[in-house]
Amino acid sequence: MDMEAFEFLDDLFEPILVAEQDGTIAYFNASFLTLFRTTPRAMKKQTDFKEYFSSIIPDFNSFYEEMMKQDQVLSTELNFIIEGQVSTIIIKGVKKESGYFVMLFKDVTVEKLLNDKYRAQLEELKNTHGQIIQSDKLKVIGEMTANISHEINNPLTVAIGNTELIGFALEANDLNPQRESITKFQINIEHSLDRINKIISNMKEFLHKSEDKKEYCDAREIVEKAIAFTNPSVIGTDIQMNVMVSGAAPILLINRVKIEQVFVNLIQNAIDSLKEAGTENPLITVELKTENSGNSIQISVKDNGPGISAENRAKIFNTFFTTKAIGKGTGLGLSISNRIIQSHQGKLDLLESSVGAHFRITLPAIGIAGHVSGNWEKLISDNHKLIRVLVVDNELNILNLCMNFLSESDYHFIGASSAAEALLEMERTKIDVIITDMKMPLVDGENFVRELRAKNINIPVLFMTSKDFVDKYKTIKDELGLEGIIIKPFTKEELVGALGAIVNE
Amino acid sequence: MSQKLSINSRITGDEAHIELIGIIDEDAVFDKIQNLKMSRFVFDFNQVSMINSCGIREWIKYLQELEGAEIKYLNCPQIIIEQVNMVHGFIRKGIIVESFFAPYFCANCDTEKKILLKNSEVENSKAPVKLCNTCKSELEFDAIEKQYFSFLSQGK
Repeated sequence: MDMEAFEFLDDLFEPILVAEQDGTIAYFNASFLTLFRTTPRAMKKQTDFKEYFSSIIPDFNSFYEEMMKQDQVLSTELNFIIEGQVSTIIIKGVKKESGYFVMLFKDVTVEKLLNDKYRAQLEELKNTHGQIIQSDKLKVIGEMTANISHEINNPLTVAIGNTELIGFALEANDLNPQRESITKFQINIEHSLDRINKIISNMKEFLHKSEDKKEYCDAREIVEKAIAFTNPSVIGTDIQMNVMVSGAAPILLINRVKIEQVFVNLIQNAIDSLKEAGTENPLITVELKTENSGNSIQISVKDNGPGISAENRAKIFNTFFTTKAIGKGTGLGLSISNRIIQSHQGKLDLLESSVGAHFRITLPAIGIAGHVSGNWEKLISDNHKLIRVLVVDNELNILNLCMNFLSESDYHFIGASSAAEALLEMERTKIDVIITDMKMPLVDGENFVRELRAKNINIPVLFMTSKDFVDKYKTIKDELGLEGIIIKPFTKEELVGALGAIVNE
Repeated sequence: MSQKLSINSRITGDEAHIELIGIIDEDAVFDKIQNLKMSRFVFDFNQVSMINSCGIREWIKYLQELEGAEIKYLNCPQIIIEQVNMVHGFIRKGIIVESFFAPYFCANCDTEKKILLKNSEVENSKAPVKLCNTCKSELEFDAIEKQYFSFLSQGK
């Protein structure tokens, strides 16, 4: 071995071996010894590098034969076995003109093992992910089933109760005095069946579509419907129900059936609690008010029963948690209600109360709700210019119609049910076009626009009114700078066409 | 999954004495000895059975948080010395390798020996003379001296 002649290779990190034409090993470095787990002493005993490598690298001979044929560096990946352990190397070899064979090695065992390991882990992750999705699906299906049966149970009880009442009424010899009661019972049954139908339709819609259809609704109307719905449960008790509205009844942009479901749950819980505790002068109060800033609506459901213990307060919204007797409650009502309110970007709180239980629902006010559930994200992602149209009308059907028409077009709809709401909305949002009803309580369309112009707000305005107001429109259009009029009833094409004319201009 | 690294630590005064046991590879976790904020660390590698290039990188990353501390390595096995000679950073400036194992061979007994050396015993990359504990004959150094001891200049 002529080790000294190749000392300049000592500092190479890569394992290297130089051999002569006759197979004698001329040089190897320390990295070579480390890689092949050998010693200088053991290497001295090797007389032919081909024999040495053939004993530990099964495919070395074919590599060697190929190297002999070529004038340039040959590189390949091979396995070698030492002490029963398989390792992987990239071997580069060349036959130099001087007659020496130079072979350089790179140990890629760690990289290969890591690659295999991470592939296996990735596969495991994929499987786990699939399992999570599957179990989530099952969980949703399970919850949906429980939800459907829980929600159907209430109207079903009402329907059965009213059917029994009709039965009692029919036992009388003279049915005439009972006619009014029977009609009332029949209406209750109809309403209950209608509600079951709506719940099922809603669930079907939920299963098939991820979107949650919202509409403008009068909050008071929803609360009163929920009270009427739970009314059969208070028949024969002293429970009084009281609805208090501070100011004008708030308008909500909500999924009507779902929010009604929340009120039914809260009111039914209050009834059950009062009945079970046998509270004197039992009272349930529902309060509706618009929060001072005008950004949210607060609806409180309070009772004067025993309330909720400190121990149970933290668990009250947990799925399947119930304080009711077995068979009386599923423990789903509040957890489902909480989720429904959250899906409306609102919150359901249990407030500290000296008497009874006090739940408070906070929902975004009409303007904010419009932003949250609007189509502006889609418009932006589709690279549409965001044109914000503020529609002011106290008729909720018209707001809902405009919302549907405009959301299907490339406009961002924002609704307001009064001039005051519209002005508040304009303070926080840049509006491009206003469409306002002419005839509205408190401040009508004309005075609303006058107020805008007085404030130097020159946003284009379209009036939306019946034919009766066309003459009025003609007299004020120049003074108020009105862009046009949309005659009720109108079609989608008429609405979008009128807007298009302004926008294109 | 590879065998996990286990760590024993003992803190005396301002000094942390740490024993590393098992495999130092890409899965090595040094949480147990992180944020100790000691001024002196003594690492005993005697029971490290394997270390690969990923493990060396993990160790180098760990060393970064010990900036400014006095560090000593004890009982470094041959596998560590070989890796250290190939991947720089394991012995950063100021680290003293107080003792390490080196390969020797007894021609008389035809036996390979791993002899624990102190750094002070190695001068000019020359292996100190050691005798076979069985036949008392002189052992031959079983690696390339200059390259095997090259790590000793790394901490200086």
